[in-house]
Amino acid sequence: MCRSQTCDLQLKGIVRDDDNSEHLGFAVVKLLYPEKIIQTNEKGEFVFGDLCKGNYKILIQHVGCKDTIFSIDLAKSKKIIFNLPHSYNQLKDIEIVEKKSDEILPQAMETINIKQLDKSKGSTLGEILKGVNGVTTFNNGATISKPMINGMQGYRIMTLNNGIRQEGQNWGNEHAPEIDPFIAQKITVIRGTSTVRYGSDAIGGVILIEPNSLPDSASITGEFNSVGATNGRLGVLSGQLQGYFDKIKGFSWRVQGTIKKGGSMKTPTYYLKNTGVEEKNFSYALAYHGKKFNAEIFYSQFNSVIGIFSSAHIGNLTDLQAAFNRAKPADSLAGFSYTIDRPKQVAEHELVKFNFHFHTGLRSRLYANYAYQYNKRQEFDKHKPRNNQLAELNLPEFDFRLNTHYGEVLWEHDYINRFSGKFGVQGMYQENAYTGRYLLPGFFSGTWGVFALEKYILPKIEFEFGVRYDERYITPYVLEQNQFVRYHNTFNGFSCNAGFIYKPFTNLKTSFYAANGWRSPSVNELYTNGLHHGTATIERGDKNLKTERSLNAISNTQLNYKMLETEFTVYNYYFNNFIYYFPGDRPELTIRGAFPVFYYKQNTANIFGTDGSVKYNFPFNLYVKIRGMIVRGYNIDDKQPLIYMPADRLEGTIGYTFKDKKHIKDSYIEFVSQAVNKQTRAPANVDFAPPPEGYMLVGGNLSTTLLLKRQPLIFTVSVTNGLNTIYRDYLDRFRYYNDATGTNITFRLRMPFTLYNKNKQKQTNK
Amino acid sequence: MKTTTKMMLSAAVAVALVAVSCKKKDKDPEPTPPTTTGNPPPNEQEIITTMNVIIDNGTTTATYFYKDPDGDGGIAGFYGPGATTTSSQTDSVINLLANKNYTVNLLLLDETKNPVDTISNEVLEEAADHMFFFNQQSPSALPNASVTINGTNLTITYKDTDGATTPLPIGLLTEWMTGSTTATKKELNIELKHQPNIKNGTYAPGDVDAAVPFKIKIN
Repeated sequence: MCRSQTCDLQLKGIVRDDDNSEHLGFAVVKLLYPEKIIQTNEKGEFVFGDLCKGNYKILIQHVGCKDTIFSIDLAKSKKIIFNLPHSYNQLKDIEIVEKKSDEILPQAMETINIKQLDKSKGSTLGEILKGVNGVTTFNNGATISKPMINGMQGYRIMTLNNGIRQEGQNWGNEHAPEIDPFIAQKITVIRGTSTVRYGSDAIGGVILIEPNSLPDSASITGEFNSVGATNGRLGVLSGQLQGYFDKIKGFSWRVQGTIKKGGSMKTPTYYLKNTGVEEKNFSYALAYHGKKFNAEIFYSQFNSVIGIFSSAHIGNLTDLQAAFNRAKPADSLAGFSYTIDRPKQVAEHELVKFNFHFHTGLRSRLYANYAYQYNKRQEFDKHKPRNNQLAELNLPEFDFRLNTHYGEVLWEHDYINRFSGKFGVQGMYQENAYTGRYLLPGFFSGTWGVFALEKYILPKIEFEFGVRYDERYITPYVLEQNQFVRYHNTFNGFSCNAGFIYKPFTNLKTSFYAANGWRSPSVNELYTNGLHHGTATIERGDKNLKTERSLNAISNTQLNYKMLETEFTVYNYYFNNFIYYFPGDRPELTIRGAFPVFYYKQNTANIFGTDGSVKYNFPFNLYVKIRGMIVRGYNIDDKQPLIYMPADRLEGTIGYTFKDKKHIKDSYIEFVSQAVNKQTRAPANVDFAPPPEGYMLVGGNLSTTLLLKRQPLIFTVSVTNGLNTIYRDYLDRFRYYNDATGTNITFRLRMPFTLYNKNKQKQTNK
Repeated sequence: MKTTTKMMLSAAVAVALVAVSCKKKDKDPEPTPPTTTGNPPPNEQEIITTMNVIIDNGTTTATYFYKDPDGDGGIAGFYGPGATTTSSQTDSVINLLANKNYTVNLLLLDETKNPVDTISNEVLEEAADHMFFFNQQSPSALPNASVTINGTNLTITYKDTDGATTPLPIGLLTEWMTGSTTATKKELNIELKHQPNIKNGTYAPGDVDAAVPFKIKIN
């Protein structure tokens, strides 16, 4: 081994404002390859360690400044002052590379980076997102988890899988997003509306699932992940490989795949029969980066089979009441099994995406994107039909196919006379077909929208304003008196946003964002009519529902002072015609007995919330973090709380960071304790069962990075529900039937590797 | 020139990749939703629309029924005889005479099918997995499996068995013996439970396939 190969160089930097030499705290510093992201401290300083010799590109982003990429030749450890310009005129020997960069938005925004992902890999997307302030989940047991942002879920939340809005059967409370979390190198949650940029209905928030950017120099790298968990005896293997062709300039590629298998989950006292899960996912990307244009194709496929706890699939109201009165569910004597039997869900999702990206000038780009999505969802009831011929076919009772075409053209310009902005036209066309039992009608639907968004950038303050117009139509074929009746609904409206980010000092950043948005009632809210066995309710839409309109404001403040890091968010949503799901006052009789009826209603409503975190770094590498959230939903017309709002919660973490050794680094141990209050603000006497009691869970994480020669191995062990506490959560629909799962210990190994890197070889040869 | 070649190459690769990865979807349902004049999409479902209670006093038969025209959910159901739609609903009371013996057959139908599908035949075929219950009561043991309806002098005796190694009653055929008259109407909930591999002659296990709350009056 050649000495020049040791990778122990350090790059220290200070980020300064080019105009007044002020040190810039909170600047995002991103090493482009290998990707590492850090933030400057309040003095504007940052450090990257363990670098090899070579050429590095560093992207620095800061409010009020142009995102800038610096190119650095590193031969020995260095300390560099980076002067961040306010305009292009002041640039001198700084290379500007056109690269899609992360923007700093005026909304509350939080990213789960790769290091934090190490603590939750192998969990569902919803569980992973729980690490973000303001995010909770709406669960159907341990295997189906829908993210909830600021107390909102379903249609009011948008998930962008690699830039494309995920289109699935979003209407079901038990339909989790069909996305492989292992695709993500980072996951960002933007709270508060960005209705102009993402669509008028992204009222609650947006979840961005983003893979790593493809390499731009000759290399082949990859990553291997494996996860094993004790509860459910779950195993996950995931890998990815990416490269840049040496011979054919400009082309890069990636392949990625995941397989997952788990069996019956266990509560502290019994196994949950038929709660296994299986996933097989893969994706690939091929990109061309040229001087004038870039093109990328991305494909992903998601396949899952999820077992539904058999005692949670019930017959009628009598069964439901009997289930709730039981101390243990009827099937509680079952043992562990990987077999997934009826009732179950089979979901498949495919995405094909084409991106084109032309440079229309030094400071502007034109994007043209097209995506096709195919979503298949099959739901199998507990029992096969009695008729033997039908039973042999083993068909699902519900079978939905959703095809979505999406296209957009966007033009983006960087800093010109203190303005930067984005303009675009977006369109979507959708077809939904089904076989099996009637619940949600088949429909055609289309949307188009046009928007403009501009930022005005001053040294300490940045303003953003935008406006958008959308039109939408829905044409469903509704079953009425055994006849299909065609309806046609059209909706349109404007939405606008305004906000600012203010950074009076290097260690204080505060933002405010106000927006209005609107959401057309969805097909299920308008026309659902039938018995939903998965939830044992009769659901009835209302075809006279009007457009829901929202007005919201969100403010986020980050203060870092010496050893203290704090973040605080407060928000309020005011809704006109807020659409919600509400139990009717008496059950309806059917041939199968009585069922509760849920109607879609609309009212004036208000959702208010606040959340925050405080972290204090003590001497001796000890740190303490406290995180809490409160959400209040109120139905103004009916003068009562909104149903299904998350209960107040508080989480405390105490951790210790170990000193880096020669072969061991980034090691820490932390203990986490979470207290969730009883939800006392729920409408009286409408739920099947009163909200469960509050609970407290303890857990922890232990992580270390081992360096074997130059090969890093990242080990993480996580414990959840460490004391095997028996509890039920208000926002888990399975709380009617069974306790939540008990202790789970998860072991993870992540191994990033480099098969080949031309830059490094050159240096070795020197 | 060079750029053009690259563009063409990337386009070719892109098309090839999509062609390889997109699954064949010929088993998909028609993406075209049914038209106003068209037929409902192929419905492979098996539903129960009708429960007939056929009461034979030795000379004449009377049929009481509950009909849910499109199965559970959708259009609301109604009781008969006499009614043809929900709006012409009649009472759900089964009238019996005091101190009489009646032979009662229960018939389950799926009237959405043409010809009408007799679900009770399939219940009989899978008798070992099914059992009828009256007011959620578990009957006494065979051979004279019977229940007494609360608040009445009506005793219902199961007259059929499922043919399993340890036979258990089914309830498609029962004998109803009345005693003295009742002053008021009483509940009579007739329920078919699906108890695959768990049938033990009691009400508790399994799921409800059909459940209709009738009323009973002994005159």
